[in-house]
Amino acid sequence: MFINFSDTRLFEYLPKVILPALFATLRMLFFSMILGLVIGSIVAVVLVITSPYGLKPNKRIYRALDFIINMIRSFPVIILIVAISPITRILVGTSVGEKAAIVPLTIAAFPVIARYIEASLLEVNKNLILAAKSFGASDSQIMIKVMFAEALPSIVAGLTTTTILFLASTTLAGAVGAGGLGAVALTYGYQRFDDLMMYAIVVILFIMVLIIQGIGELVYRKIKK
Amino acid sequence: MKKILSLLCIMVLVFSLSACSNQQPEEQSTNEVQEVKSEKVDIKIACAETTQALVEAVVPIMEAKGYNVTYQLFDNNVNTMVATNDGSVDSLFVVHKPFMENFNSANNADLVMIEPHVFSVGMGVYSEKYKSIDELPEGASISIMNDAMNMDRALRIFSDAGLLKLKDGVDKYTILDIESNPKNYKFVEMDQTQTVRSLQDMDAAVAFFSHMKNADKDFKSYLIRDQHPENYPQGVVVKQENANEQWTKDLVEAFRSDEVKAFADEHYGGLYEYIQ
Repeated sequence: MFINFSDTRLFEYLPKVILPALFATLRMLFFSMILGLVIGSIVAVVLVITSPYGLKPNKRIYRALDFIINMIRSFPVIILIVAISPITRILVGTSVGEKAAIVPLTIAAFPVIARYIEASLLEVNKNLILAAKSFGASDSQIMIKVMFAEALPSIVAGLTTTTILFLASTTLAGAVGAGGLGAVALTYGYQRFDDLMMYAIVVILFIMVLIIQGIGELVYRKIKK
Repeated sequence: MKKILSLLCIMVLVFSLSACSNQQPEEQSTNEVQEVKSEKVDIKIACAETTQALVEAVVPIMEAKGYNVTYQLFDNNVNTMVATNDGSVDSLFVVHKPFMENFNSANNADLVMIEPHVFSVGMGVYSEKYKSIDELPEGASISIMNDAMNMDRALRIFSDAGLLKLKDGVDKYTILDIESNPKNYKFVEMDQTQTVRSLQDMDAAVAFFSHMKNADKDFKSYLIRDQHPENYPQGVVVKQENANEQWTKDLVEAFRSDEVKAFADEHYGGLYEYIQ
């Protein structure tokens, strides 16, 4: 009696609960990834420029950013969602619901994205940068035309991994009334002993992971050429 | 040599006799319920932080009856039931009856809550924006707990107050089983303890008296409350095989004694409503 497929309300719930939850999850993931990417890129660029081996080394800025990133990354996402609720309230006016969940998800995502981008930028061949410098390229030219251009495939791969990681995190947002697939799996599947419902959602999440990974690889191959 | 042999014989005899005498009372007890049972003196109770003080108050009363009661504190309500079911502790005093029944059916457990039950904890609809339920506007946002049992209980509060109409013939109501919602309330599902935290963002929230008290809010300030708290009683829970034991009856009596009642009223400020 490990799996109980009788009395399932899956088919009744499919249009009423699962479909809206799927869109809620997609919206949360999309907006937190876009915002995370914007903030993460800026932070990564500042990190790379001010790092001891960067174009304009600055210990203070580098150390401060480094510290903040490490601190945020030490928070489990579920705690972050609850802990920063006053900030969330200031930013979006409420600490409950989908919009409110995007704030902590973004805050959790940008340090991860920043670290991926930073690592990708640092891997760019130093000789390339030196060569560009010897041709008289400016710092911003080196940054955009050499470093970012070279690191782009690696950044895309990192973003794909991050997106899949945060698909899992959006499932935690149900705790603050944001809905989403994770909340439905827990509330209507697990807690009501409706196993079919729970596994159906796991399958949907699995398909979403496959699609995200597929798109990521497609883009990677396109720009790697 | 002879002496050792005879000693061995005696020991074997004593053991076999004692083994027999161990079995006999059990057989008798099934035949004649009133037969005096072996006296159980040491009783171990599982409790959580919420009921610890109460169990402590029960200890001296049980001691007066000749029992030695000890308790073990759990940080997870489900684990108290696991411990009782596998015999690690004799009894538990934490959970309410539907929760226990749910656990039974999910885990093939045979826990019973002994009658008379002891008390219940109320659930209410609270608001920090509106003073009465009539003031709650059309389309008001209301946070509601997302677990099956408590969502059902919360929806019944609104239904009993005539604010919702629920479908017939559903065992555990969910927000999808609302047939008509004349005031168009928007229910937002969230974690049990989050509803109290959400009060400042929502028009209203459904919460347990105990969660309100833990958050230092006045649990008596509800707009409406559940009309049937007795359906969610807390009481002494034991395994089926211990349901008719004398110590079980004594334990229930101790929890329902005037001394413990008075202590509960004082310590928890009327949070627990004793069942008559």
